[in-house]
Amino acid sequence: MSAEHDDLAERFAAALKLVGGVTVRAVSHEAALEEARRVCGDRPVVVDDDPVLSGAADGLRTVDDPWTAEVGVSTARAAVAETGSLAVTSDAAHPRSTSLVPPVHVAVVPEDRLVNAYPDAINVLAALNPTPSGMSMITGTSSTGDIEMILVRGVHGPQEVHVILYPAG
Amino acid sequence: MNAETPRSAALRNRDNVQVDRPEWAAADTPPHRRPLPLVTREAVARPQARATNDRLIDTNHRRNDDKWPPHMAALRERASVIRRETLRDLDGYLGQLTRSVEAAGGHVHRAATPEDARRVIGEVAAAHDVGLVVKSKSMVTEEIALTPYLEERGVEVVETDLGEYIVQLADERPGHIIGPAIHKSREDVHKMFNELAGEELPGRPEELTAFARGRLREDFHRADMGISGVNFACADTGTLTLVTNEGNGRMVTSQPRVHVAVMTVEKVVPRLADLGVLVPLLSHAATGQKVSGYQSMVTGPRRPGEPDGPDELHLVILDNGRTDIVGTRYEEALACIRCGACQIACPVFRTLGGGHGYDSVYGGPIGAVLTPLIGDRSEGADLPFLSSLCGACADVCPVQIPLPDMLVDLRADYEAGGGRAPRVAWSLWSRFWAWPAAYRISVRGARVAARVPGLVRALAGRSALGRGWARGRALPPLRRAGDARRWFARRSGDAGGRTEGGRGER
Repeated sequence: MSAEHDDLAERFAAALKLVGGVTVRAVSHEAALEEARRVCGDRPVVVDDDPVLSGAADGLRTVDDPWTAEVGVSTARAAVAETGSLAVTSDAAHPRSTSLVPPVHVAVVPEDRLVNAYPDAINVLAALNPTPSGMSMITGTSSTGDIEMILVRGVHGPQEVHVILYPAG
Repeated sequence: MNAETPRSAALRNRDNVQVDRPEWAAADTPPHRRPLPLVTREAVARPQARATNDRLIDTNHRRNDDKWPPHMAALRERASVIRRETLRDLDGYLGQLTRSVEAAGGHVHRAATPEDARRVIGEVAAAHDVGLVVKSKSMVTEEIALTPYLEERGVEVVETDLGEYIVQLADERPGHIIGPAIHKSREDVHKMFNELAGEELPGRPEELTAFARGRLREDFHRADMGISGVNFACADTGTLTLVTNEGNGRMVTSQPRVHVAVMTVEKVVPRLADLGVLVPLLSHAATGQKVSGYQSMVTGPRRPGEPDGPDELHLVILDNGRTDIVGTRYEEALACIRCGACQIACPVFRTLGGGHGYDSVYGGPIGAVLTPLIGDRSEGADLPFLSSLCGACADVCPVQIPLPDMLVDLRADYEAGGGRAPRVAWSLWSRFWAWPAAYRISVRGARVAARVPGLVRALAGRSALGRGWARGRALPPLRRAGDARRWFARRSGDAGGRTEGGRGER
């Protein structure tokens, strides 16, 4: 674990907390997957087909339809230390719905994908070729201020966001 | 579709919601605009206006007292350059955007007028046999009056942004660019939701939000078509970017089988990488967040093998007179990124209790500038007078649009164009007053008339012109008319020949 990743991870956790999310720093990839399974419990889940998540679904109650799932498990292309944002892209193995439709989103992210600031994550996305059909920047839980400008968390997007970081390599 | 069996779960029993709003706040602007002074007088007099004003003053202090810390000021400079760079070659970037979106598999429709835009969207809906549309917040769809058009064709349209959902139920227009229900109290919302539910619901904002979430969720899942606006359309990649907090934008662009995105020409930006500057700046200016909750970046429809996302993506690019503004002294108005900060900062907007008092789709300083310039330039020519020219709008503008200068220039345009009668009246009056005897007679007359209560107003009310003029204006105390001038005259007499720093009036 490099000192640089350590600093970025701590700042990420602090920033995500301010926007309603929870960060867990796992000691290893296996420990990260174990933590993801712990958050899911016996609830119906959808899990993306991704090398980072290989084996994550073992023993979980996976379902096909994200609308019947209570937890969605994905990874992210980048995570922003300054804002607590995740950069998520979609393709055949990464449905748009995983990080959106279930009320709980769990993201498992290796620490070498941490970047300092928001424009750095946009640059990661801008460098993808071809540009994915769906990309999202996700910063915390869904929220609104539409009633008397009072902040309420948990609207159409997830009401809970758990980010599990682990040392890369 | 059969109107008696609406397919939307969110709009079920919407007829039970009691609509209590003036005509000028209606979702469909009435075909004949009433004189602006009448609308503003009513707007200010509504009890809700005071409560809204109080909330907005509070918000203004929180957001704008320390608006541009050094790192944000730097972003502001960069964004201002990016937006002006775009406007210098608007046609070029729109051409590039069109090619990029088409290369990604999307369909692009250029619409010169609101009628063109409505027709295209209606055709897409008909071709896909669409019965239910979920819509995310978009001002341009208000500008083209899209919802009533689709409803007339049997398509049900559900607003999914919480604020938009509230004003849809209330049959009102959005009262602010990004806070559509800014003029509603939690009690107003509670009452409407109770009527909708047919039972007494808990009334805290969290509970009201949860109720709306529950009703809208089913519609996201079942809708045939999603309609969204666009915050930034990136020309290099054809990526349509939506900035939201609730997640409805992500739902609308990913769940239905057809996605129609509607934008105005100036929403184009050169590069995807520009989002790194524009999104944090928009977030800061709009809501004071470091970054808004979600940026949905859509590049074409779903690709082969992808399990979700729309089968078809249509981008409608509306002009409605905007390209005619390019190259004029109002060009920078098109740099606007629709954060709504100028509205919160504007004392006139706040006093009116929100945007409805402008009797136009766009209210506040940016609305007062934009409305007279778009379309066939026949509407809202008098809106630039709804400003105290205090300059707060320019201070908070994230892309440094010189709004006060434009308001002044638009007033001059208005005077040069219409409004002949007041100009003639003023010029006669000034000639009359330039004659000392006439001045003295009129001042004495005013002091005498002021002793008879109601006389001045009654006299003014005798002519149509006088009535129009007196409306919405308060009469100054006339009993002491001329006192100030007499005081000055006495003082300059006492001062002898002293002319320090000025001209001695002899």
